Amino acid sequence: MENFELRNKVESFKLFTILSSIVSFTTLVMLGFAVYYASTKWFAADTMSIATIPLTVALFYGVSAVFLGFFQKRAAIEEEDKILLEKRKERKTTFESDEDALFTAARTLKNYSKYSPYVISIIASILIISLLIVFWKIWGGRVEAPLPVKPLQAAFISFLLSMIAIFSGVFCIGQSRKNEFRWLRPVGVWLVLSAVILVCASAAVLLIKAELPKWDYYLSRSFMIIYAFLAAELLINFLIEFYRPRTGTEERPIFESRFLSIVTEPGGILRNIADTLDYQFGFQVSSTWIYVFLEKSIVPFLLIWLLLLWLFTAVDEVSPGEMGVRETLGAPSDNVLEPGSYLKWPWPIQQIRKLPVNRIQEIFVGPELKDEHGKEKKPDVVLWTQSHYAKEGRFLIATDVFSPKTGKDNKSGNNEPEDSENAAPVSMIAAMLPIQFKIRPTQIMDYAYKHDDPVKTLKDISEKEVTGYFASCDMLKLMSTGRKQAIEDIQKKIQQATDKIQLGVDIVAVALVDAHPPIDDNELPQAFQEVVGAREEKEAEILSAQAYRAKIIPQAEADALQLILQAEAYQSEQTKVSEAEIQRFRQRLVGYRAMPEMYILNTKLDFLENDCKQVRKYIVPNSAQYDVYVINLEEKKRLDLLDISDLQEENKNKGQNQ
Amino acid sequence: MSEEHNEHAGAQLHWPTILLGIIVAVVFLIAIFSYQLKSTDYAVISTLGDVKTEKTPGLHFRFPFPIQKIYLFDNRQRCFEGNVGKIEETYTADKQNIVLGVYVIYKIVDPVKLFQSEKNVEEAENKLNSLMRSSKDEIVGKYKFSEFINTDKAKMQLPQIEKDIKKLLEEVALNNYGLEIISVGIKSLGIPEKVTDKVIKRMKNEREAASAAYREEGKKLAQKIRDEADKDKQEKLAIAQAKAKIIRAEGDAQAAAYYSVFKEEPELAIFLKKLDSLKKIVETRTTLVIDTSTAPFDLLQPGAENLKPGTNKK
Repeated sequence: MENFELRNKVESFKLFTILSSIVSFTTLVMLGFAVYYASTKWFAADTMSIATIPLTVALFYGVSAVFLGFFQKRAAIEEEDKILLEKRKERKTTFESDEDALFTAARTLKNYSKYSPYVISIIASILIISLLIVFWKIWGGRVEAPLPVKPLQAAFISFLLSMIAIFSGVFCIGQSRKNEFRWLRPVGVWLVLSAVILVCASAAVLLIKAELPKWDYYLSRSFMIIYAFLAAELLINFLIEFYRPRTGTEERPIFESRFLSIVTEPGGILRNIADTLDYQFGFQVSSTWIYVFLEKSIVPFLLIWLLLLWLFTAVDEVSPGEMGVRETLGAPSDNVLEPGSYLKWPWPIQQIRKLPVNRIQEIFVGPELKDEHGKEKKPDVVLWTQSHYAKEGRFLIATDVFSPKTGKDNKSGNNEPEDSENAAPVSMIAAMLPIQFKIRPTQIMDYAYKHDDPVKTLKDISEKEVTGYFASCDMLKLMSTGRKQAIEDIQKKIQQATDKIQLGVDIVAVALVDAHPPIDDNELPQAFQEVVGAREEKEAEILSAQAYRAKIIPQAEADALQLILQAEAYQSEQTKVSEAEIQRFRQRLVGYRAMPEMYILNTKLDFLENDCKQVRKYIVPNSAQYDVYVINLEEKKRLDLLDISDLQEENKNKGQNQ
Repeated sequence: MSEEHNEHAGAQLHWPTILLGIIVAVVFLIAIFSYQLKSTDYAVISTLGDVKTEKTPGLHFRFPFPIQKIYLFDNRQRCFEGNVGKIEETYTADKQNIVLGVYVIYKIVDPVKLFQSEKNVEEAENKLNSLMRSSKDEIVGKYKFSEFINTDKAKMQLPQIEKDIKKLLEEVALNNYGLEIISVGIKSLGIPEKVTDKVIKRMKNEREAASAAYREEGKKLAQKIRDEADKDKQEKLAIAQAKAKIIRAEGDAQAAAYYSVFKEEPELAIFLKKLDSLKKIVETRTTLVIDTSTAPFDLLQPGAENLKPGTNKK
């Protein structure tokens, strides 16, 4: 009889080992598929990627179960051998000690059963945390999540894998009811979790296809939080159970998640909660009246709560600054709702679509604002020679090309290439134009229902108008005096284009934030700056010349005026003096005619007496010998009487010599 | 009695379950026998191969799958920039390379045609993309580079180029795919990278030439201003001198008019003029050497007491 039981045990452990192996292999295959598809471009959903974590844990638990089954089987076989040996011992007692030493499988099993749950628990926890960190780092370093290329196929494969996982998991949980197969339960629990996540991955991919990619983000991040919670639970289990005396026959291995078991074990969630409480507190909590009351009332309470939540969807509010449109089964009503509270049929019969009509929205034409890491540059100082966006917006712009020969600008279209056959008579400009707009309240239906993506359409229209305007605008003019006109023209053109297709927006403002040469080649902005310097030099030269003119012209005018005034003075003098002289002459003439000789003598004597009063006079007797005096006027400016005596001496000497 | 009571109680306990089951069944039946059509969608209903369109928004009856299949198509205007060759290099009529990006605003007007030809919008857009590229290349090849970019607005033909591309597209898109092309726009213009480098080099050279020209022009203008200033100065002085001479001459002429009076007694006039001149001369430090024959010093000559009046007329 004992042998028969032992034989059954051996067979049972064999079966456990085989089942564990099959489940582990299936999990490994599923994990392989999941890793492959999660890493291919055409699947590409974060929720699919993190489904690899529970599959990895399930595989780890499955392999642990295989080892347990293997050790259990060996121990049972060893037990059989031991019984046979005991029977032989009864016949002969020699070599007893030697044969006893060979029985080690039971001790191995005992050690494995005792210590491995702790190790498995810690390893599983570390495994989950490590994988979470890996995913966090990978997702944190990318610009944006890639979208699946073939979402329908991806959803199908994900769903297929989830079906395999759920069947495997349910099978393991079902088998784990037998005490020998107890370690299959954690495997099954994690496989069920994998199945749930794979179904969610399938839904996430379909939502991406429905242009709701954010749901993949929300789902994957929610599951990451759940994983972190489960990893923490494993660690706590380890700490709680470490000091608890173990008999080796515990019903629940410590690496089994109680949280997951509550929702996955057979018998219903409430029953599982009761069992967990009983297990944790060590008495029948589930028999207390309060528990019984809660168990009976929880379902109606939840249903009423859900009903109330649903009924709350019959009340909606249009906030200040918004306008709403009531949609009944997808059909919008023509009446636009002003801000306020409204009653409506609950979801999904009626919905109120709200649009922020007062909010000024902004799009940017030109540069890429964010770099590959999603960061936006915000420099305090913006210079032509330094990059100030992730990627500058570059436009072709017409240019009245400066001709050194003529010193004038030629129209760009008429200018032939100068330096090579490929050089085009155009220039390039780096520019950024923020376009600010509001939803037009009178065209709210157009904005909401006529265009698939009004903002994208507006951006494309704005880019078109800016491109077209720049293509017909002179670069230097745009950068300087034409800026204001350009902004006004572009705003007008965008408004006309949006009105033409009834986009339902008002262009509130357009700005031209940048307008400068491209900064790829640093020498180009410097060349532009150099022109400004040259203009300043030109102005300085002109101002210097004007200063010279300002100095000499007034001087010349003053000199000219002086000349004229002198001439006028002369004229006046001539006239007045002549007139006076005539008057005097006439008066003198009277005296002269009376007695000419006397008048002459009198005048002469008057001259000598009065006019020559201060004059030095030398009287020379005319009876003296007549001499010719030579006076050297060059040596002395003023002759004196002594000089005459010297001269006489000199003349004498000359006479003697002759 | 007790068993009956238990059975009765059991029957009562099942009511919520039955109600829930009915609700679920009703919801399920509504879900499989109806579909909701939003105002922004058209529905193409395929009933065992027979295809028709539903355009009225709201809740509509349908037979469940696989009897009827519902395909929804967005009826709003969509802006499509292309999926392959969003920005593409092509050749202009004057053999210049140009890089263009074009977008198309379209909407589905015949969903049945679209469904029969392409099944879904993505496939239709793939075909539309090919048409866009072909039309764009064809039209661009007809225009010169200067008709894309020109400061002379009369020569700039971008709007016409867009119209031409639209014209090429709209008929094919409508007839083949049930798409109405609302507008076509050129959203980006560029040149190849190699040419870009040359353009930048030319821009740099041009700016350097402009700098040099500004400097030389400054010098030239400054010199001109200086020369003009000198000329003006000379002119002003010359004018002033001429005017001064005229004024002086006028003064002289006016003075000369008075000189006719001197004719009445020229000897006296000459005498007086000489005397005036002499007065002016002796005003400065002068030494006069006078002989004794000059009156009144003739009185100092010997025999002056014998002089008869009128003998010293010198």
